[in-house]
Amino acid sequence: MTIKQAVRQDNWGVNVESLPDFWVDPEKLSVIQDLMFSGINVMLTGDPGTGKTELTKRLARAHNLPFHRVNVGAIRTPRDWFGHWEFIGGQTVFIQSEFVAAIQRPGIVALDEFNRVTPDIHNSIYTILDHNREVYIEETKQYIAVHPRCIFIATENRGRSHTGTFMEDTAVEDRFETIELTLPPVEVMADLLEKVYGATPDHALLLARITHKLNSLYHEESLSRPTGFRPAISAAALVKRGQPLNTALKYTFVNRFSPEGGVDSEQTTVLQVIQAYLK
Amino acid sequence: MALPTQAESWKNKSLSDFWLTGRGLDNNKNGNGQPYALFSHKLLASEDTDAQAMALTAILGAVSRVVDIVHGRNKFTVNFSSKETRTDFVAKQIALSAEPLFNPPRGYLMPDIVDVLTGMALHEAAHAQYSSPEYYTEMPGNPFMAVIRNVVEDTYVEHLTTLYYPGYAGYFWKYRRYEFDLDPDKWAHKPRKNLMENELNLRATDFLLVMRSTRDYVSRVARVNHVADMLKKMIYIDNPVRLEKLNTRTVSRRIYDELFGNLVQHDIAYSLPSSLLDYNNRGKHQGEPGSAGANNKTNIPSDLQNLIQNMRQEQLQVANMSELMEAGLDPDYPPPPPPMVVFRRPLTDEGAAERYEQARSVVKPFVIRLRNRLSWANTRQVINRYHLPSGELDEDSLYQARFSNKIFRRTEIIETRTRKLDIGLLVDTSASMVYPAGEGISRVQLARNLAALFVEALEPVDSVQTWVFGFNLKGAVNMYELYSPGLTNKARIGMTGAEGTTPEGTALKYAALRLMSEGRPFVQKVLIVIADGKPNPGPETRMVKEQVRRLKALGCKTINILVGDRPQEYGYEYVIPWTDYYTVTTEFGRLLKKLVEEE
Ligand SMILES: Nc1ncnc2c1ncn2[C@@H]1O[C@H](COP(=O)(O)OP(=O)(O)OP(=O)(O)O)[C@@H](O)[C@H]1O
Ligand SMILES: [Mg+2]
Repeated sequence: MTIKQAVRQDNWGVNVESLPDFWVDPEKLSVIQDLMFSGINVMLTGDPGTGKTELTKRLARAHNLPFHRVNVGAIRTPRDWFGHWEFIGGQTVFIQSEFVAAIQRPGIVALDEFNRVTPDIHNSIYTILDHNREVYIEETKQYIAVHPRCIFIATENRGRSHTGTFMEDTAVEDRFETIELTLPPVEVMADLLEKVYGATPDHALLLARITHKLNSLYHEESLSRPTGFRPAISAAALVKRGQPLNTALKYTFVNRFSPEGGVDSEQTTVLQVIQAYLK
Repeated sequence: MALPTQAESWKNKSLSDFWLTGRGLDNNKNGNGQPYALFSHKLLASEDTDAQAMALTAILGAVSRVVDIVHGRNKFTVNFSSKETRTDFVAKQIALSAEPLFNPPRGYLMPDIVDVLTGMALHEAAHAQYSSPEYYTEMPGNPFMAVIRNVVEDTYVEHLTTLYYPGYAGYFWKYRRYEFDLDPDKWAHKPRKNLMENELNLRATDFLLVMRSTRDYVSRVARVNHVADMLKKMIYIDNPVRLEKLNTRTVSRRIYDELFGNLVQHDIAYSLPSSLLDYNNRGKHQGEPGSAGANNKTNIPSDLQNLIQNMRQEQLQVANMSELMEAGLDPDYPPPPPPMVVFRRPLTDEGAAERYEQARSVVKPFVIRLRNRLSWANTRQVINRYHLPSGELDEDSLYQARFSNKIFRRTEIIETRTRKLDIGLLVDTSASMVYPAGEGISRVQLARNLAALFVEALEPVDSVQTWVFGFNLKGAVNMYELYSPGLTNKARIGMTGAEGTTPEGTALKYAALRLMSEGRPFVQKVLIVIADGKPNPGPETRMVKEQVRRLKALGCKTINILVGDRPQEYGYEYVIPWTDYYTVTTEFGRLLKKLVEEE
């Protein structure tokens, strides 16, 4: 579908009530859409593997909007947002970034892992993100205005275990409305594991329960890292390929944790949780 | 209800050993007992209270974690305390009977006992989680009602927990087998003269056994079996949400009516046999704290009790349960036991801060000197410019403020060079350290002074992180974490002492492990060993050389500062013998520079 088609087929601003094969708390889903269609930037937070990145993509698909994802962590200098210099045919040429193109058309621009960089990287796009919605690009001596139907959704990783992330400064916080994503409830997660990832009902429920328990132990500070959706997906995949359940659990849930400390190790705690749910 | 096949497997298999032994999930199915060192009671029988306390602490840790999983945020602490199991809901404490440990049933091995204890603790946890408050507060009208109420509630909370955590079913089974089936006489009905009393007691006892025994007990009284079946139908359902809605008080009432019909006349007092009284008292759920003290029959000696408490506060980390069991405690244990390693964070006593302060005042003149000796690792060349219209306020030129606005200065950095360093200090705290290191100073004091010197010199340097560990062998290899980036109370360094022997090789290995795992990635590691050159003979001495070589290969430099008489060389490539602070600081600086820069 071309951009023109997408825009013409104007269901702009009409909320969807759910997303296929993906769970978001219905109230949050509606608020997110209301914000984005009101031109307000959304910041998705939550533990790793709660579907932040995936949700940005799914929203674009649900609304037939072009989608552009910026891996913010890969941006090294404040000017990288706009492009880079290249030496072509004896000349240095400024190659404008996809980002600059993306903000000038309707669509969703996902700023993934927005807090993965130092705040000075954010500075150069502040004016894009606030009510000005424009930016002066020095390199090309151009003013660029953000398209009125360009939607910004940023994601950030929160949590004790995320090293290399930087605390947001208030300037950034101010420019976004923050919505926290959480794991789907056990039954919903089990359903998804069964339907989307081909786990048997028994295994799906087991994986969902283990995930939830381990993640709650993280929030109680009994474990050092959170457990999101991913290990369950991997475990389901391993079992589907014929690995025994124990092996699948070992390489996905158990081995992510340290064995240091013998009976007092985090791995032991994880093993005990698994034992709690295994018949 | 437990499937027969499942119960069959619980009979012969320990549930805890797959994680107790660190073998993980792979060995989960491997039920045929392996000759773990763990399967030994010698440890608890041993004279060494330290070792006993350690084993008990490790077991408590293990049991608590299982219980935590059920409790979630609402955490209870688990302790050994009285002969009876008790739960104090206000203080959030579960006190487990240590009976199974000190008085193990025949054929029970350590993992079986851990299973039983876990079952007991889980049972209490289950009450805490699923019993409604009225269960603790209401006094049933007569003792028979109390028995029924308890049986119903016990069955209910155990089954509910099992529905949410199916894998824990085995622990309940083990606990019940221990409690109700090992000593048939304990629970058997004892005939009474008064026929009415006899009948009431028979029914109550039999009902208890039908519900709680793991041996498929069948009563001779058909009515009892019938009532028990009724209760099973109500409780043993598959839907936990529905079960949670069950009102156990109403159920008990009905069971009571069915079981005794109109036998019980309320205006006549009937007495319970002592076993049933026991049953009503066991696991007494206390509403108010303090009342426990009076009738707490402790079956653990108080010194052991205190040791356990201390170890738990010290955040004892037992490196490995099976190592623990082997640790030098069992003389018959073939090959010389690999030592157990326990990382401890000693609690500071009142004298600690003062001792540290003393050490600090001794080394004060050399602090800056040592820092300067390491300046090659951190240089920053700056020029200061004065008389500027903006910048940092230059207080010295404030006197000009009335005439000029050029009262600011700016510092410009011309060159910075930082070599980051992660430095570990490993301090011998074995008994031989009481000997003098020179005139009027013991090796302990000297080692403490040196530790203070390094920490004081390096703490303010941003690019350097420092760890200090003390070590000795006493029952186990004790690694005392005295200072680290996460533990910055320097008074702890005052806790160095002198006891036990010198497991130098093992200590090197574990100190380096901590340094490597907690230090910053790609940052140069340096391990400084302050010892008196008297490691334990045999493997520990050999291991020093081995470890130094291994660390070298990993890029970690090892430097020995020798505070005793110069011994035969035993493994360190670089040794700085103690002479005086001036020389040692200089030599250390020079040596480290050479080692680090040569790459
Ligand atoms: N609520 C959910 N419904 C369906 N699938 C989900 C959900 N949450 C996560 N997943 C699945 O889990 C995987 C990880 O999700 P995603 O990459 O979006 O996580 P994330 O929150 O961005 O994690 P990180 O913080 O580590 O970047 C994806 O395959 C996604 O489809
Ligand atoms: Mg992501």
